[in-house]
Amino acid sequence: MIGRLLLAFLLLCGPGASCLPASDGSPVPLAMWVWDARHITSQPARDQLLAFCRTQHIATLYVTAYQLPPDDAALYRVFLRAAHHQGISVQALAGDPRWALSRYHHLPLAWAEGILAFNQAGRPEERFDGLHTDIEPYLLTKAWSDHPAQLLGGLLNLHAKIADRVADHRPLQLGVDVPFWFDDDPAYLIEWHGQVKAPSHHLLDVADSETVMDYRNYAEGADGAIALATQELDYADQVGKTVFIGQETQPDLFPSYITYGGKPAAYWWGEVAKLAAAFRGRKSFGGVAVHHYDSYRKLVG
Amino acid sequence: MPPRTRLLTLILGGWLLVGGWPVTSAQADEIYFTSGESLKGLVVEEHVDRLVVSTVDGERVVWRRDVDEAFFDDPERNYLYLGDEALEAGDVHGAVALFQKAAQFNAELEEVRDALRRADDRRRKLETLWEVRDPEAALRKHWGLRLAPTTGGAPKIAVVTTPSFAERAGLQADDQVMAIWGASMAYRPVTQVAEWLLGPSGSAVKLLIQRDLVLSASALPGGKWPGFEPAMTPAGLTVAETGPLGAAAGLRPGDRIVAINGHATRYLPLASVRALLDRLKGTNVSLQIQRALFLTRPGEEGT
Repeated sequence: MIGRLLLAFLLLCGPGASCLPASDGSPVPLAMWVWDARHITSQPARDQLLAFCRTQHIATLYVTAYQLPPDDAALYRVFLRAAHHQGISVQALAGDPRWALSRYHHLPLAWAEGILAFNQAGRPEERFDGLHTDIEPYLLTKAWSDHPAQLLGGLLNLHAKIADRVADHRPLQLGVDVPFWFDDDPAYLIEWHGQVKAPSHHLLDVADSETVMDYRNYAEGADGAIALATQELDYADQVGKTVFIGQETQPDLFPSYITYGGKPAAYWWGEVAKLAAAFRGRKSFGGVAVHHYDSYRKLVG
Repeated sequence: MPPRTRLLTLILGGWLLVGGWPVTSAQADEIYFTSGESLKGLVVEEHVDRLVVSTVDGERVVWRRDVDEAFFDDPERNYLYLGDEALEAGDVHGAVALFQKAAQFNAELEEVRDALRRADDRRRKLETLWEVRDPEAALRKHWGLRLAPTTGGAPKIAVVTTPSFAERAGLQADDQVMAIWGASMAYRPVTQVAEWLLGPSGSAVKLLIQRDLVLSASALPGGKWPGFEPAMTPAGLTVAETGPLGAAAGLRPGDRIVAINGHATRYLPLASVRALLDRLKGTNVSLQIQRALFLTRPGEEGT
């Protein structure tokens, strides 16, 4: 079945085409990280990003929005208006591994409050649709190795606090980036609020969506992207939350199997077709999230 | 990391009063000390043992041993800072991951590119089990130079032998080695600086040297003053192009001018620099410049 879908897709779209496969004829919902704020603050870059989203059917953007000077804030409003006019949902993206440390929670909370204030000060079409965190506490390798539970506990507590604030500002959403292995390794099971669960499941309890950094450049197989994300989708189905499947496109990463960077675009689309075919029936499946704009442009450009 | 000059105009303009968005945060770096205190400002220098923070009350030196964490207003700088901490702790893979995060925000930033190269340099040395028993002796033998410590920070080149690799590379006695692949060499033991300079034969290394030059109208009578076109870039006051007078003084396009007659240019707007140079016309002007040199390390036969 998947093979037939893939063949049909390749015949329809072909290499270099800018559409994505779907078994029911609709494009696979795509999200995309945009880290470099200059894509928002420079008008030509902003126009290019929006045009790219149109041709690539990008429905959701996670856009860096941290400590913006007032001049940039005005440009973000311009971008948000244009993106919303185009039907794109935009989440304010920020994070730092140290945000998982309880003693620094005031920083991400100030960020969250800043986004809320930004939204309140703008017209509805100029507002962010969500907050999106990318904290990755395991990048603090020594602290992570010495006391992972402390960092994980801090990560969970922080998201509970942010979720509390978001709850007062619906329909604002809270999205969280998590690595696929948060629920694959029993070593990271953690008791929180009286329940022992994987960190990614606890996070799904408090957030609206997770984007699983499911970085494999092949969809199938025991170590493929489908297998590695299945538990997150199972849990999200149970609790009524949404999961995006993050896929890496940056070139020259190690190990090479974590990224589509350097692979032909047709191969990428073929693997995305397999992901979509595997997850499309799941109510929790939000789509595929592409990491990230600069490298994805090169991959499919 | 070499001195930063970004956003200093905001300081001159009273940046702590800049509000707007996010309404709860001023646009500033913030240092959190282990004592529980914190300091807002702009981190303008990062060295192995200390940070220099520009505040509304002037520059302050803070010791890393007293710092719990430093948070920067630019996300990429947070990842550079964390990556450097990992690298200093010997965690090369961790550093690479953090530097790659920084690259996501701005892959074109020189500091980001340098950070990735210095992590790669360290990784290459580890993978090839490269080591040298006496770095200072090896530097003398293969580069033809001897380093000497200074009281003011970065080590100075005490001697450049002739002929030598160092001489061919354009290094001169009295040059200071400010940074290697963007990492500050100030306040490090000379042996450690020698270790950073050395590496597998054929590998690349980027040095930032500091040199004192004298711009003199009498060196080239009739030459157009000041003999170079200054420009303000994100890296600071930079020589955009040189005329005969500037070239005679030893200036090159791309040189960063860090002091004019002993006055730091870090906080000087370009208009003030031009006015200062106009006032100094006809005199001997001492310029302290910083220059990046890209070298290919010599092998055993390097001398």
